[in-house]
Amino acid sequence: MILQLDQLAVLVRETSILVAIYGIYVLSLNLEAGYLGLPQFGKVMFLALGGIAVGGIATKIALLIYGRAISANLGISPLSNLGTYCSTYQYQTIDIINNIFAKSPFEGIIFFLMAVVLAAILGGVFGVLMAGPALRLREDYLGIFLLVSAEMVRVVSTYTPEVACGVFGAVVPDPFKWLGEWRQWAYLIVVVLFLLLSFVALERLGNSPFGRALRAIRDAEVAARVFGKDIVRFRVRVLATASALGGVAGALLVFYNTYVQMGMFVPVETFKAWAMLIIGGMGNNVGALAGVAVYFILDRVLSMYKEGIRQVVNVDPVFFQYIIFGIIIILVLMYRPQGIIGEKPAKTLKRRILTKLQRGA
Amino acid sequence: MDILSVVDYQTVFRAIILSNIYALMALGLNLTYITTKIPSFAHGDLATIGAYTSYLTLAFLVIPLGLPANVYTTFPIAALVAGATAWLTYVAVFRPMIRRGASITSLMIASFGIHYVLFAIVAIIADYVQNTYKVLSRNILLSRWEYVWPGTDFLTSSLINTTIAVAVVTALLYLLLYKTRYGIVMRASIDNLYLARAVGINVERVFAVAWILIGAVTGIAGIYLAMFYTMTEELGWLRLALVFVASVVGGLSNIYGAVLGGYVVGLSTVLGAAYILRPLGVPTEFQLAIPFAFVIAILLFAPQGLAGVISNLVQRGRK
Repeated sequence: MILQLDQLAVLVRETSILVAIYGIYVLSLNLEAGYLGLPQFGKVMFLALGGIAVGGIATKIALLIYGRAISANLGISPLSNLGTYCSTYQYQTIDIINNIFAKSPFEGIIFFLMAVVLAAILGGVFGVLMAGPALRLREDYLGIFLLVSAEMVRVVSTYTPEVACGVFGAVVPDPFKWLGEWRQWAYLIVVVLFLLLSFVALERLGNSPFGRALRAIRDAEVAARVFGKDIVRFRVRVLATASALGGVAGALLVFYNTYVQMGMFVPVETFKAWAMLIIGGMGNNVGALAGVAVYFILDRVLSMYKEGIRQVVNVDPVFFQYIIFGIIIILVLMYRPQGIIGEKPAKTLKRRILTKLQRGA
Repeated sequence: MDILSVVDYQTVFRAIILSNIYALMALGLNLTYITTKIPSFAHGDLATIGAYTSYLTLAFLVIPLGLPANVYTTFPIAALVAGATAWLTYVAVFRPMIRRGASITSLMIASFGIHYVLFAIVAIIADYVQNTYKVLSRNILLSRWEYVWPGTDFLTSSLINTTIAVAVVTALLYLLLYKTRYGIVMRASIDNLYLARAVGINVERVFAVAWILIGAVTGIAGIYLAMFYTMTEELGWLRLALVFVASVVGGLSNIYGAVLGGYVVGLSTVLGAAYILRPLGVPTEFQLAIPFAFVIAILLFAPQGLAGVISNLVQRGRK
């Protein structure tokens, strides 16, 4: 199979965008699961909250702000009759907002930033809410609790049309409309910027005394307590930070699709992140990113050979992909539990570099 | 009297039937929890495998041979295949990982990996059967082949049959665990792993047998599940969250808590949808939220589950 050059560029671009978005998502999971050892089986909840923040809240704010232009053009007021808006007028209405953004980059960027901040706040607040149970419950029960809570968020938000147009899904204004055909390339830069920012922040956090305390709590909670570490505060902070980042990842994912349907936030999204983290290496930010990259590269390579497989066995090749991923997860857990890039070597190296840098400064 | 006139037998029957099914599913999950200390994410797929084994046996063996076409002729093979699959997952994945001292979280992730594999194998078989033999392999209900007692309709028969199934399974488990030598060995291994090992019990072999039981019970539960939800490769996976709820509400480490939890889930979803949500004008899709809210409350206030709460109360009463 030979790809044209521009096709290849598009493939690389789209994959890179997804790698960057999931990178943020998995990095935030790594902070909770890798550093603190939390069985976060409800991670998708924070993607969903990002979706709510963008598709539910920010879009409604845009509808409110540009309400005059919308009613002048279409003769409807979406917010007073959400039912008909969701079922009939979404695309036309969002087109009007998009036209405004196409002319005014400033408004688009403000809208984007507002939505992302909203997602971070919403995610962070829910993260703090989850901290209560996280302190009380044992590992297995906590895993189930988080899983069920995520399902609760999905069910309630999917079947409440007021949140994000329910089963219709919410169309989201495109804040980068003014870039025209360069939109996707620009979006790639934006998400990579976000990824770099979170990576640097988490890397510094992980190698700081704070991060070392997290590892101490994970490995020997009693000992950490003896040394005067306030475990409650650490957990609350970690959950708040990681959940806010998860919300940001959700917002970026929604802006990538410029559409959100709350039903898409099923538990599999949580486990996808876990699979990436396990493959890459828990407790190591570089490992987490490597896992994301490996996952998506494998995914793309396998999907390229789909047709070939179909000619051999007449079944949907996507299921072979599931089997391969399942087996990889199990094999990594059995034979290389530390992942591609394990926790320890990277950490000591990083710390040494950091101390050198500190001495230099 | 007022309530009786509102209650229609169909809704109540459905509620009890689903309760029975969830009780069976949760029984298997609790056994999983007792033997490996994890709630397995591959549990739903054992049910799917049971349902598909039953259907394919019906389609390729029972009906062509002219045997009586009801699901009960396929019970042994469904139980066997699901049991063998469960045993294989234990022997090939969980046992070696436990030997290596894997944490609960990594065992749970491994069970998710198993889910991927099993789910995809079922999907591939379904695709293959559909494409090669032109036999419909998705969106089927097994209810066509349920045994209907003379003079009754499907719902009544299903109510009778699922209740019998739960009664028989719990009774057999009771007999096995409390009246046989093997049961004593198994309970000893469950209660105190190290002591059992010290007195020379091969705990791992005992647990391997327990996993065959898990698979068999869950496979049969899957057949019943496929009578009410259309059969796809996601049949069990989609209901897994509710099975978890049933297990946790009842109490994960108590076999009979599962029955209790199954009833809480079944009754609260169906009856809650019919008599609370519908009169209030809330969409019935929200019925899932009721047991979820239930389990969140249970986890926050009584993580040992209802069975634990009840046994505590009984003990307090005795004092």
